[in-house]
Amino acid sequence: MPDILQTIAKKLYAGEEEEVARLVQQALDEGMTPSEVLKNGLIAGMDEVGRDFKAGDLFVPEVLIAARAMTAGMNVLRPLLSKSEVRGVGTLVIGTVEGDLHDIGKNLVKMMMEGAGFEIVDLGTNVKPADFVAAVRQHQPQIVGMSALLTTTMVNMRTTIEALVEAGLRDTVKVMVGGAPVTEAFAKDIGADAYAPDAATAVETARRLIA
Amino acid sequence: MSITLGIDTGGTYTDAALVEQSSGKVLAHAKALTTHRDLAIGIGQAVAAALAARSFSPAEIGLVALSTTLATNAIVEGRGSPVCLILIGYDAALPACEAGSRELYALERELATQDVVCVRGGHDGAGNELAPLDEEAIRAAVVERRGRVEAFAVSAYFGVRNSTHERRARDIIAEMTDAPVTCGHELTTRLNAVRRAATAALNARLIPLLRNLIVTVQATLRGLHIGAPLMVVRGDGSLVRAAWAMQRPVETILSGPAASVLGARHLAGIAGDAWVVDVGGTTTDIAALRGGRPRLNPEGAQVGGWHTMIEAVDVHTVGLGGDSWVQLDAERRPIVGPRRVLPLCLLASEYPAVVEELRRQVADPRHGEGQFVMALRPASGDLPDEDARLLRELANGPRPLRALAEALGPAVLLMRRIEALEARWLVARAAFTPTDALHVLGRFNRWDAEASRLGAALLAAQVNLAPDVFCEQVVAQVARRAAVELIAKALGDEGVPTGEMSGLGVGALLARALEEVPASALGVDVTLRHPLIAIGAPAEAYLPRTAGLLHTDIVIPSCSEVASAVGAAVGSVIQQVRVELRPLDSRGLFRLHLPDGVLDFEALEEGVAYAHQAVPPLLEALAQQAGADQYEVYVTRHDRRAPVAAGWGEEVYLGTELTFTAVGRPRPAIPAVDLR
Repeated sequence: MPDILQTIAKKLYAGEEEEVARLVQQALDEGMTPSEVLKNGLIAGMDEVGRDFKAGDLFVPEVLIAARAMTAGMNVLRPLLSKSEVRGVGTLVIGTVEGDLHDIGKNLVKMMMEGAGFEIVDLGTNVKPADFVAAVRQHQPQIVGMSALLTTTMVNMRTTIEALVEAGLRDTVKVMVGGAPVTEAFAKDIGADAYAPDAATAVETARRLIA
Repeated sequence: MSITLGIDTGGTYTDAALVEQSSGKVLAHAKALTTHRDLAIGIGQAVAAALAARSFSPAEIGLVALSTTLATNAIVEGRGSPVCLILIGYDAALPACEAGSRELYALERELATQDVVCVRGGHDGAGNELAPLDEEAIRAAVVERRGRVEAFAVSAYFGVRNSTHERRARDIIAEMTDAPVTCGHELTTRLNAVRRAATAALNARLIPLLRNLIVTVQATLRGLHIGAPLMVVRGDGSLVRAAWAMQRPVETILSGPAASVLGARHLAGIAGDAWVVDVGGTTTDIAALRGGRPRLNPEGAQVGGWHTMIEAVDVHTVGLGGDSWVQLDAERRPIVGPRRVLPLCLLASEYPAVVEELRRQVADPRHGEGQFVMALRPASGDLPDEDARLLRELANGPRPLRALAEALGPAVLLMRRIEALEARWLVARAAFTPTDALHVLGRFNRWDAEASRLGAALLAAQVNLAPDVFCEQVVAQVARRAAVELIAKALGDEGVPTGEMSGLGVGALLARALEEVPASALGVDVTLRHPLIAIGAPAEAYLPRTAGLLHTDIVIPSCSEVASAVGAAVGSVIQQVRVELRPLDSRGLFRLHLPDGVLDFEALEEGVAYAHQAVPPLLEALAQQAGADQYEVYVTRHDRRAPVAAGWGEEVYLGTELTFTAVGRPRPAIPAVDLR
């Protein structure tokens, strides 16, 4: 593994945004392909972040700044990656359900998933079921992720799933749900495919769902 | 004495059974070949034969119940009349339905009709109207099609949550034309607008076909001086009056298998839970009986490439039967099926020269491997040269496969060709089958057992076994495969995906459970907790061993060859109304979704009480229309609450489903009418 890619991964872990962007550019100038830099530099770094976060060795703020460094590196690479390379792993449509404005958890999942090579379509917060359906139709994602942080809005996860069923689209995606009040049993009862308790698990679960 | 006449038109045979209403006894039964071009002919023959069997007077027949494959076959074969499908508010589901577009020919395959009209309207998931119904567009569509279209189907987006637009559309069409109209919400209460639309369209297409059949059957019955009313079996095994079946023919898909399951139960005399296993020549069908009724598939029956929304009997079909092709696998063990061939003994009883040929092959196996090909009928129309040559080679009777290969030369891709011609019913192959094994073992004796013995010798020589021992292995293998499929079905019904069955660990445990590894240090017993009811002519030969492997009892009832006709005769009228109460956004209200609209309540139990008062009259009307005499009403309530994380408060209430079911006997003719 070329040294520069290892360094990119280390800097990313440490959250050093500008360094990551600079080194990514340098790697490209030295003749590496964008997808190699993405895979063995950025994604490798984020995977380490995910592992340590799950193990309890990293905390949310640290994950957030690592994710920012990831984004900085991606911004350099994105114009150079072909459409298929960016989509490489899959597409995720993600949003917080109708009536709910919380987004920190959602944004964390979004950044971790982008770090894992997913293309992200972020619908924001307070997303109506019909808008989830429209996004599925337009972007044809592999995964739909929903977040809710209120017991009063959790039921809209089910309404969204029903909207996908009615649209004849339910079988074309895997649905993943999360948020502090959500549980595995709840996910099963409403007909979701999976539940993830945190952003790192979300990435693992997503990979498993589309394998 | 009042008798019910049960009739079933199957793939090969049409059966008739006369069942005494008071005792449930089968008084007589008969078979005739099914006449696919005009089903009523075979029906008439079977019924006449059954009546003649004990010289019954037609006046004694109080009820006729018919189970038919017409709907299933018509869908599979793509038959049906031109119909118009009106989609209300579907722009969310189908991009082609964007506001303003009409007549979508491109959707034919998905929606079962070329003629699709999209109009504005529709509701959301809570049953709130999203746009007013475009009544003008509906009127315009009907005017354009008057006289050209045999039936209409209407499906609204979320029409099962609020049926207002569908009913309004139906009323408009009924004002303007005599053509029958089907609505999505009348056929199901479940979501999936695309599948619902297809189901409604399929129903509309079938209406003229089923109407035609019923009219000719009624005429045939009158010709036999039978004046009793005619009822039709649905895919869930229940009976409906002929008039109902003519409005909702799609509900009759899978009626044959459903009747078969009910007939098996009746003949076996078992009231509780059981497994019905129907072993045929080509396939074995497995279905579960729960509380005396066939277990239905809530996902909807799949027929002819369409995933309908009709909840019919859940039958698991396996390519395993008395005429399955026996081959040797890589480890030289017999594998049975899934392909079907003619048994060697059957072929030889028609063409004795086959026996001579088999003797030659046994003497010198280089001459052949015990497989033959024969022509089934002369070809009509043009055929590619090689196919024509092949058929010419078969003009004088069946030929051994090897001889055919030598005659035609190497470049002709013989196996491919044979398979293609088999698919067109132009040729058939003959080879060793479990039926042959039974002939060798002396357990079945209808055709030429010498051919079976020779066929067994050929295969047994390849595995260094005595032919008898080899045949025992074949029979054991059929029993084992049936056991594996029962286990897979039982697990599948409990949510275990069938893909899991092929894992190495599962395979090893199963092998030990099925006595395939006698020297193992690990003994494994799998117990099926309910008994088997085995029907189908070869059942006796294979299934007792299957029951033994699964440590369960087996019942092999008599008259099982007409189980479907019996099942039709003993069917009940079963009608259901399902309503749902759901929380209505955050206002703390509860919305009740009834078949004819929605109503809001401040308290859950208020809504439940209202449903208990409003639904029974609807159910009564349905039960009457379907043809029930007296009936009992059962209500089940299912509250759905989902758990939240610890510390976040109580469960989340998702909704309450109330299912009202009426079960009754069909109304027989009072008094019996003598039409002679």
